[in-house]
Amino acid sequence: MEYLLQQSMNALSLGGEYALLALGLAIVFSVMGLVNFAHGDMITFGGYAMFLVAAGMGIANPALLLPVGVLSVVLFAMFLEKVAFKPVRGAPPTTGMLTAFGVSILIQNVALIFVGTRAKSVPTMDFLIQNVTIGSVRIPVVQIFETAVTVIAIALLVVFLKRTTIGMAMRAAARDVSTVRLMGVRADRVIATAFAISGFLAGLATIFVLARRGAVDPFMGFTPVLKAFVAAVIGGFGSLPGAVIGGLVLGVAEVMMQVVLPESMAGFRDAFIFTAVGVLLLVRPQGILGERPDFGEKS
Amino acid sequence: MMIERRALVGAVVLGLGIAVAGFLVWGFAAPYHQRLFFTFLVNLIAVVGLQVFMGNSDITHFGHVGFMGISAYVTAILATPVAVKRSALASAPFGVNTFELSPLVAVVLAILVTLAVAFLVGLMMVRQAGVAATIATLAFLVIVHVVVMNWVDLTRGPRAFYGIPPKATIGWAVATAFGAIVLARAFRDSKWGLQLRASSEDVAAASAVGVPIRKLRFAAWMLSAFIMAVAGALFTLFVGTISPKSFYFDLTFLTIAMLILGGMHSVTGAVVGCVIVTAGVETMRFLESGPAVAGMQLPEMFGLTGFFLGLVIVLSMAFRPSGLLGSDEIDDIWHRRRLRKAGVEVS
Amino acid sequence: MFRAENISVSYGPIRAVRDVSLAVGEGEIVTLLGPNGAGKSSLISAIIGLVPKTGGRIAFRDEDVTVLGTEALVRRGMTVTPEGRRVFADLTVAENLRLGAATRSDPDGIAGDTEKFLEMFPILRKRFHSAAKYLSGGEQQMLAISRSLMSRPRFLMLDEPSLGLAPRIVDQIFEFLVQLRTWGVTMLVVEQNAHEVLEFADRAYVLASGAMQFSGTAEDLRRSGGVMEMYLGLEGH
Repeated sequence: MEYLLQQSMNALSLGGEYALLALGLAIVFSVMGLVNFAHGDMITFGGYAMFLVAAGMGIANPALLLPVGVLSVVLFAMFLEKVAFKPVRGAPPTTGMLTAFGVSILIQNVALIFVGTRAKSVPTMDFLIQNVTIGSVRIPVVQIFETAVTVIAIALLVVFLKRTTIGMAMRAAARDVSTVRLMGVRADRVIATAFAISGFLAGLATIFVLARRGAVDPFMGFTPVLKAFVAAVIGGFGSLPGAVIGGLVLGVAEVMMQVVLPESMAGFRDAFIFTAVGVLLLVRPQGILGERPDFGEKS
Repeated sequence: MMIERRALVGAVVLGLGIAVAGFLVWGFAAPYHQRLFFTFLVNLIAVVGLQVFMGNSDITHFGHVGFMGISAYVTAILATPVAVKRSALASAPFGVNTFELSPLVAVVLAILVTLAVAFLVGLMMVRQAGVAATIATLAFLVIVHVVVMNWVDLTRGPRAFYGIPPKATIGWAVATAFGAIVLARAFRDSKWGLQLRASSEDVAAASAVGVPIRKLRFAAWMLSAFIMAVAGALFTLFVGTISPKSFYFDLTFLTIAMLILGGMHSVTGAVVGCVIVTAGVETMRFLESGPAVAGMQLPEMFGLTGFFLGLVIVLSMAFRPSGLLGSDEIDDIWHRRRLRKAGVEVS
Repeated sequence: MFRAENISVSYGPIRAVRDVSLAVGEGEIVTLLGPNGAGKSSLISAIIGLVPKTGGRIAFRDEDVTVLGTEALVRRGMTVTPEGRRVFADLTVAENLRLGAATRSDPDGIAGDTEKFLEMFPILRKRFHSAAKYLSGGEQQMLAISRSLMSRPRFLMLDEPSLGLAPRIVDQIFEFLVQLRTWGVTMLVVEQNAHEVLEFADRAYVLASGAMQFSGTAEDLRRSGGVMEMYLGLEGH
């Protein structure tokens, strides 16, 4: 029973992390059709920002450090949109996707050139990996925190999308940008907001990625975001509820694999999961909530 | 597959260019440059193989290097002498450390294994819309990498796999590159290739006139995997030592940048991109090591090569999204020039 | 109040609209007629800035607005009810109307206007909280026009409001347009079906093959059997 509770907590928090990242990908995709391969580098950027503040300026207070992490990712996401993705707006999806891919390589190598391959530790995050004991169950703080933050972030996002004009415009723009412009809403503003939200969600995820790893390196964003991409595909690429469901499914699948696989096979975990996803897509090519049974659409 | 005469001439001219370069390198170049040229040829074959799928189906493919990796490892496992394998693969499964095959047989088997995997992955791939398909190819690359890294008994995991007989020669590589270019052109200009390219521009219209998009996509996928498998086997039999890192992101970035710069809809573009990016990367490697240039000591800048590749991709997309050659092949350019000389106006 | 001069629109080598001029006076209902593919929608899209013009000038209420983008034009009081309604299918009726008022920041005024349209079209009140995709074609058109009006435009362009609707619904919509005039909204109604719209329009333009073929009062057009027959496939009288 305790074991079950621990593992469910584990699955929930991991799934939450993927959901946050997948949601960010889905929001940007739904509004401007961009598959943002540089999403992971936003995490890396946030990680280095926190490292600089913690190590360079000696600020160890998490109440200061965490907002710095989130805010830096938001700003970086908006910066990327203006500098890298504006020129390819309206281009075929392949062009945008490859641009993002190129931007991602650029960022990784700039990090390599200026800070090197060696991982730098950010010890301030240690408070997150301590355990709390509830009854007789020991659960890492990070998992409780992460699950709670994910739930709150998703709730806030839903309220934002349902209640604010710009939120409604974002939902509308997912299908019909020009009619949204006819309402007098600037497409620029919708897209900038989408990137800001995507950066905000990625910024939250950064904190947890960093807490789990304890260190930053130029490629730290890759694996979590690859998982987020897979999660988004599981849920149906571009669907927001799909992103959340896909994230949770992936989190549960990963934790279950960890439990089921013998020690000697543990390294194969991701291979098994991705293969399972492949089989799922064979049966249901559009993902769980995807609504494009039509084959071959978009690029 | 019938190949049009003009396309054939174009392919042969490209191939001959490579053959001449190969002859010069073989006859006169220093061993270091021979190695460099060989690597260039392997990359060229890989980029042409990538072009077959990406250029015709218009789906971005990040998993092509995975096929190279599968083929390379199967070749290595089968062709390496028992004497080496007894210690290097002491606890190998399937008794692979008890026999060795001739390199040629090993390559044939490696290609078959790669095609079998490509077949299974392809079944899923062709049912996906563009974006999901691209992510699936990336996931495939990761799967291959994870398996190679973790199946230590069979692959030595992250450690280098050494002792592979270095039987491949520049002559073989030139012949293979030649063959790959002809195959790619033949597919591109065949009825299938034409239909597939048309369908990627307008799916609805293509399926309305009865183009079997999935089948054609699948054909391109398999042919691409075949060429990648050959490239992987060739590479292994030249360098003699491989590791999982040889078939992961570095090579993926490199080949994608080459194809995009040249123009993914054109086989000629693939070749041109490969030449330019190879020259650029070699320059960057030189600068990266912190050389003294004109009496000035430059700092070491590890990451410069990757930076260059990223820049190539981003600038191509911003200024010339269809690459240097767009959809033109070498014979298209000639043909137009001849028409222009004859005074015919061409748009 | 509105004047477009020598507007041209090209898609690559194809010139969809060539040197077309039109003007609409304060309080007028003007109709732009023409067969399918005449360039009517291209002209409207170019005027409102959704597709680039290759030439021409546009003035609105004594201001040169040629270079302004869609959003700025809407803020100045122009808007388009697009062809095929284009309601936001996944959004509710309420949300569609709210987005129509995206340029406004007077909650009371917005609430008042919403109430006005719900009075006008009771079916919208009944479906207020369901997604717009569940409305019928006619209901969607009512929603689309109401949504356009939520921005309180002084000049409304309607692109084929009768398209694909039952005659009874078309009558209802056209009646509404006539009523709109009394609210002080100037209108340009793009139509393929000339007959009914000529009954209430003041003036008419006929566009065919990207060029203006006729301009005059609705009365003139009805009498010129040649134009009617040649471009609109109708018998004049």
